[in-house]
Amino acid sequence: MPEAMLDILGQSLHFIGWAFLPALLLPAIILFTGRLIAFSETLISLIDTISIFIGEVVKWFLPLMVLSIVLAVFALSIYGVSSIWWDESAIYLHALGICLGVAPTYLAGQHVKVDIFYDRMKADTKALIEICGFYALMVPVCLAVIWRSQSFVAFAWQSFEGSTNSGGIQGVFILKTALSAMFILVLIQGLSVAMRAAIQLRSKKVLETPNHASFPFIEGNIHKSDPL
Amino acid sequence: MSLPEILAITMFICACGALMKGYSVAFTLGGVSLIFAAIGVLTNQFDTVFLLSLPGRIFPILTREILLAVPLFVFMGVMLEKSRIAEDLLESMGELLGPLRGGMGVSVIVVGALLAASTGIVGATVVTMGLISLPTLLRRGYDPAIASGAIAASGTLGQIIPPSIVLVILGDQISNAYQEAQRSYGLEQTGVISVGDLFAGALLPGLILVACYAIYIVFVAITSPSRAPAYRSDNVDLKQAFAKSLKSMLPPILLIVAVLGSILSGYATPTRGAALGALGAVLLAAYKTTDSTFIKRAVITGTLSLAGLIVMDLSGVDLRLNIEGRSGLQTILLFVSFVLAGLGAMAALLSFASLQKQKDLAAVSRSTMHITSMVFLILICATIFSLIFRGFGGEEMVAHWLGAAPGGVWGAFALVMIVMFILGFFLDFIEITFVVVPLVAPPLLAAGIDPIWLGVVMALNLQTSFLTPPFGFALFYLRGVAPPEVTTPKIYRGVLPFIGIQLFVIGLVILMPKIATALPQQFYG
Repeated sequence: MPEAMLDILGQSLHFIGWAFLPALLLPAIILFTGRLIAFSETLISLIDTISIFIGEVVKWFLPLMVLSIVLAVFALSIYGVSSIWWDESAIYLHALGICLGVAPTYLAGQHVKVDIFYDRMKADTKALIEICGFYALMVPVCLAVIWRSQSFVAFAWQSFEGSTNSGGIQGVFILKTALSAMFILVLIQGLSVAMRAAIQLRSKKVLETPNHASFPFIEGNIHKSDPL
Repeated sequence: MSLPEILAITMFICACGALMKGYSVAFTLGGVSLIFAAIGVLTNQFDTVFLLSLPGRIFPILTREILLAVPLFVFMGVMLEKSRIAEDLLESMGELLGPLRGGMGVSVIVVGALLAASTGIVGATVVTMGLISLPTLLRRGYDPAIASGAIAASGTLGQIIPPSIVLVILGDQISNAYQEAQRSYGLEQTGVISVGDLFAGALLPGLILVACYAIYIVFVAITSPSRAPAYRSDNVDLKQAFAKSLKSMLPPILLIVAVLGSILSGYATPTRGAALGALGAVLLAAYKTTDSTFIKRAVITGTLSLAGLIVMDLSGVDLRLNIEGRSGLQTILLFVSFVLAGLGAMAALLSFASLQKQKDLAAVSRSTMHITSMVFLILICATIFSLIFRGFGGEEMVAHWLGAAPGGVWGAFALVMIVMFILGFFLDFIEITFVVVPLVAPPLLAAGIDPIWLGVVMALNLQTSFLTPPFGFALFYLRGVAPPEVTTPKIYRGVLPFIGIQLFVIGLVILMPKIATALPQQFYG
């Protein structure tokens, strides 16, 4: 691809990023003014649908990873055949699986919480914690990583950074991009969950819970995560 | 104390406090530390240069080869849980040992240990055993305290008996800390610590724990028979019960031996061993969940073929493809191996297809994706936390404190253990390992403490913490599924003797470090 095209692509992504930033205010707007609820509901269902779709695709990376590594073990130990490209493909599946899996996991309510006191709180308190947590904790973390990743990702793209092993997959720049994508996706997902919490607090309206999703602040929706 | 150090301490306390509010652990760790970094920048106590390296620090976490073992072991554990081996094991072992005094209790502990080794998932083990065996134990006249204590205690074995996910994570952190100790603290010893080392080190202490639990149950059954009575049943054919329990015990035992054996013997790296284990779990689950005799037969044939292939390789048959001038026999063996490999591959694919038809594969994969993403997001955010903590000079502060602890190295060691024990009440194993171990382990290791031994004692310590009232995690899980007549005080009273056993074994490992260090030396020299 010619460099100019990549440049334009990068610039437009940058622009989309800036244009998206005001959307982060939506939960606060809903909570304090009660406006934009209908718009937010559409946005919520759009975000959740995309997230669930990603999750349902990405989960297949795991059985693929098992098969790919098992094949590599047998090929190496028994037939003495090994391929760096093949070995690295398992790492790619793993890393991409995590990067794309974090947002659907957030939607499924499976990111572990300390629930000693949380379990006893009222649904409204939990919804408030969700919104406060979004603004005070999630937004700073995601924006900090995304902000700091710009030059990191740009450098990787400039040389189309590949594997340091000869014969490896020439796609390190894609993995590095996936790192930013992880935080962008989970930020968008967090926004959707926070909007849901805000709507519930403001208009006492509990939105329907889609399949493979779970929200701790909705009564009867507590889905215990599988602890290790 | 200087201002940055005060900020570092306040940050740690605030993070612990914020975690109690119940927002996602990962973002709480990362978010609180970033807020403090902002305060530090405003008061000119923090250099933003530290934040520059953020993506460069996070990225290697995603591609570290050893951490691939985490999703693979999780996949294996969740798959085994779905295959309901726990139910089979408990039923058949109960039938076999039930007629003995304390027999049901011992069988719960044996099954707990087997599940612990094969699945390594504490919460699921406690919940499964609580649902299935607690009612049975109560029906057969066991004291509720003994019954619940045995279940909670054997459920936590999943952390300590290898192969366990927890030991993979801890092993990775200890290995990093060991290198850090060599690099920054001037530790003269060279060498690396692997996850396999920790597996080997934890094996003996884990087995000693299992034995002590069982001895305790037998002891209770002898001294006060009414608390752990025998169960008389007329129509139990002992021979049949024995055959049945053997049949249900054999597959998980073989799986554990295969996975552990391949890792400890150096035949496979932990990651590759975990993948083999995951495949084994898939074959086992497909066999258990299918109704079709054809699939059952195919799975058995395929498993035997793969085993045969490995036996061929281990017995010294050279099957490498790139050698020249094969003899006639070698060519025949090579073709045999191709047939075996083909049969194995067919069985594996058939198993995946069969599980997919039962909708189990999708559920297991989704669940594994959730757990893996959760673990790695915490690891990433804990990295942000450590980075900022370090930026405030927190690392030197901790090292300084540990150096100034009364009683030298051992005082420092005791301090660390107590802090970890208390943190274990509130936080999960993952958070503690990711946040605390990188801070405290390098100075301790630099003072000459053996890394494998340190890892094993830390694992034992946290396991005990998860069992200790009122906050132990295992107790919460058991409480959630226990029938109402098993009251919380009864559960608490029931685990007390087991906590005593834990402390005894920790003491034993501290007094005789050989228990933890002898096996790794044996395996790895």
